[in-house]
Amino acid sequence: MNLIDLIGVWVGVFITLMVLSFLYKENPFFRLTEYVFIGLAAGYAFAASLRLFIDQALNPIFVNGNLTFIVPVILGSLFYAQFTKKYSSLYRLPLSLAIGYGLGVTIWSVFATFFVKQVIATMIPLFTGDVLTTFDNVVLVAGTILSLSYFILHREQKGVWGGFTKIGKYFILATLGAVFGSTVLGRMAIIIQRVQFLVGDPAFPWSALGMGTATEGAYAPIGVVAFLAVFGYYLYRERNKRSSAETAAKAAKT
Amino acid sequence: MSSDKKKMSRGDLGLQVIIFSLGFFYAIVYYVAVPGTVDLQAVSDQLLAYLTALLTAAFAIGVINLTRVHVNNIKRKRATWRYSVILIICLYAMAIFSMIASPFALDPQAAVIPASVIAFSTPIWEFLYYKILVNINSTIFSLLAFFIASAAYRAFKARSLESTILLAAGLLVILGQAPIVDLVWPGFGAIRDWILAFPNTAGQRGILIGAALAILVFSVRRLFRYPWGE
Amino acid sequence: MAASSLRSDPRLVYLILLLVITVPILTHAVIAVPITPTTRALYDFIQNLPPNSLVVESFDYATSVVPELHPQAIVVTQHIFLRPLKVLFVAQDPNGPPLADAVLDAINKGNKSYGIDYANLGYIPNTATLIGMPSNIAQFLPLDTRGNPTASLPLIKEFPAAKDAALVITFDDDGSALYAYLQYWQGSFNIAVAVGATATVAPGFMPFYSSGQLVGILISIRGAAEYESLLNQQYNCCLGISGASSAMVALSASHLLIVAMVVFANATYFISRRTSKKEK
Repeated sequence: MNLIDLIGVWVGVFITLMVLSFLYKENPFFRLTEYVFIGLAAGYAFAASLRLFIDQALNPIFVNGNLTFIVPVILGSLFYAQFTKKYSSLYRLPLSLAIGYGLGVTIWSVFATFFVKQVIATMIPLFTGDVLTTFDNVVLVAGTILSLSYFILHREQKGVWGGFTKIGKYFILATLGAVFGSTVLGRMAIIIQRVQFLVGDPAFPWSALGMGTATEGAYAPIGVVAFLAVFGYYLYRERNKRSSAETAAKAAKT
Repeated sequence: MSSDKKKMSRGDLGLQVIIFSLGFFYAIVYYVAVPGTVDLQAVSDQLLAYLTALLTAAFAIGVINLTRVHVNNIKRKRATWRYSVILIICLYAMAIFSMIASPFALDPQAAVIPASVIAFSTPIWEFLYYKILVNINSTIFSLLAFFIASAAYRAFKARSLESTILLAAGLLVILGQAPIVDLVWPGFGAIRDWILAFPNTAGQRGILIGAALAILVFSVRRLFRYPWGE
Repeated sequence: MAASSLRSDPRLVYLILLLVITVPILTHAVIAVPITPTTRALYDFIQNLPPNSLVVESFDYATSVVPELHPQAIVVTQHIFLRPLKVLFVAQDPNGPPLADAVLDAINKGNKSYGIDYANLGYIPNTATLIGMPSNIAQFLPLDTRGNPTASLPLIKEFPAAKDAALVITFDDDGSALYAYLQYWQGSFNIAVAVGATATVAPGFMPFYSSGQLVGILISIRGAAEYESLLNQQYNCCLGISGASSAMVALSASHLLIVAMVVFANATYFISRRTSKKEK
């Protein structure tokens, strides 16, 4: 058994329960995890970005000797002009390069992937030999056209046209219902894995998540008990503080 | 409407020329090949490499902003200043250990940083990342499971035809994706698969095509600085 | 009275949900999982890839959705390593490289070697790099996560351009990485694309599966459990490597609880509406 991994499991349990304590009420434990999370995530992102800058911008200059890369590095450094008062508008220059490139690439890529291929995929035979396939194809084609019609807003949605857009609305609602149903799966999957971790379930992928092995994981419930004791003590002290404050307020009134 | 038209300054015009030139070039390079004269693809690839270098130069902006805000909190002793201290410590500790020992380490082959320092830092980085960061992030997300359960109870009422359709589709999908229900009667799974494959696909496709057209129109308008409000 | 207590204090709902999830986990119950068509399609595609084909695995999820996508990454990676295929790990999320390393540490790699059969090239920093990779990997990702020059790896000498890949599978939590692969890799080079998706975004990917742009979709932890089951049927192994299969009873219980709550809430709503109409 690895002692560092065991301590890591207990720290992980404490952190998990500190976040989950928000469900009971807002408290300093939860707030602490919020700030720790932002700090760690930002620190990691900084290191990642710095490495990329070195690989993509500095290595071509200093390792490969390609001095033309000095120009984009200087232009990119203008992003930091936003922190100055006098030259803050200079950051718009590198931003414009990024925007121009992004717009140009978007025009051909979005058109092909999200428009052409989707329209082609909708061009399917409506009437086939099989009743069920015919029904499916009609649902797909009619549903696509009618949902699209719902977003045509320059024309008032009434009369026969309103009838079509109403059916389109129902298709969109069915879509949103399917998304909601699917979202339930996603959210439950996350909390189930968290509970697997807290109870020390051997089925939890301990090593695949860098949490040691199931041997250390089996001691996770000890961390749960320890946290509940600490949190319980915190709630007890809060209640005492509140009741003594209420008593003092009553005494002040009288 | 004409009052919404903004006059472009020289600087704005210059930036718009840059946006248009680069955007137009990348829009046409996909469609146009000019054999024998200029290898547009090679020019495009080289420009891409330069753009990559330019974009990565903004690596420190997030850290600078966070540091400014929280150091300010600490200086002025605001209500959450103690938490700001913890944030700054975590930020720089993680940054330093990540630069030494993460997959983004600056010197993974120990050419400059001594191997002993890397060996010392690696378990610390792994502890911070796997045992703290991953746990916090996934647990924060897991709170949504409780909120969705609470919302399902409080808010999902079949008050109208529209809400009934939404509810029915949602409930059928939920039932179909619970394996135990699917085993009791495979029809639920088949219904869920059908809803996802047909009505959901139709609705999503309509939304996708509409969004693609909107993005296309916006991109072309932005390239030409089409006056807003006209 | 039960209805009003549940409405007035949501913590009661939270407690019920926690109990409904915890009890099946403590009993270690496991059930068979029916296979959905999109999972089967992905499994069959990988199973039928010619030997020595290159698969690009893209880790594009943040640590928040690790419970949903990490099990998928484990089972798919294990499948690829059980077959005579080569694999390149990349990421469009900065959290991807360490998660890829964690998956590699957890699976059985057989006799495959780093640099020859697989490599971790790390983070793809922006679209420009992604667009360039199908033409020349080493130019746009010059170093791997271990600091080796990409061009020196035998795997990259064999496959210098990503357009030679037989499949790119992205484990994506919000669709941005998938759309990038569809637009730039499939759009220009016709590379087959598959996705391991969170349950929230999976319905939005169905049009791409229907149009043939995606060869398969894994949906959340259930997709991982289905894939484990398929691996077990084919190779008699791997059941439980990702922890997905053992979560299925708890998943079913939680889903049934949601359905019960919605039905109960609607029943009390209709009853109270009828009662107030009668009173009028």
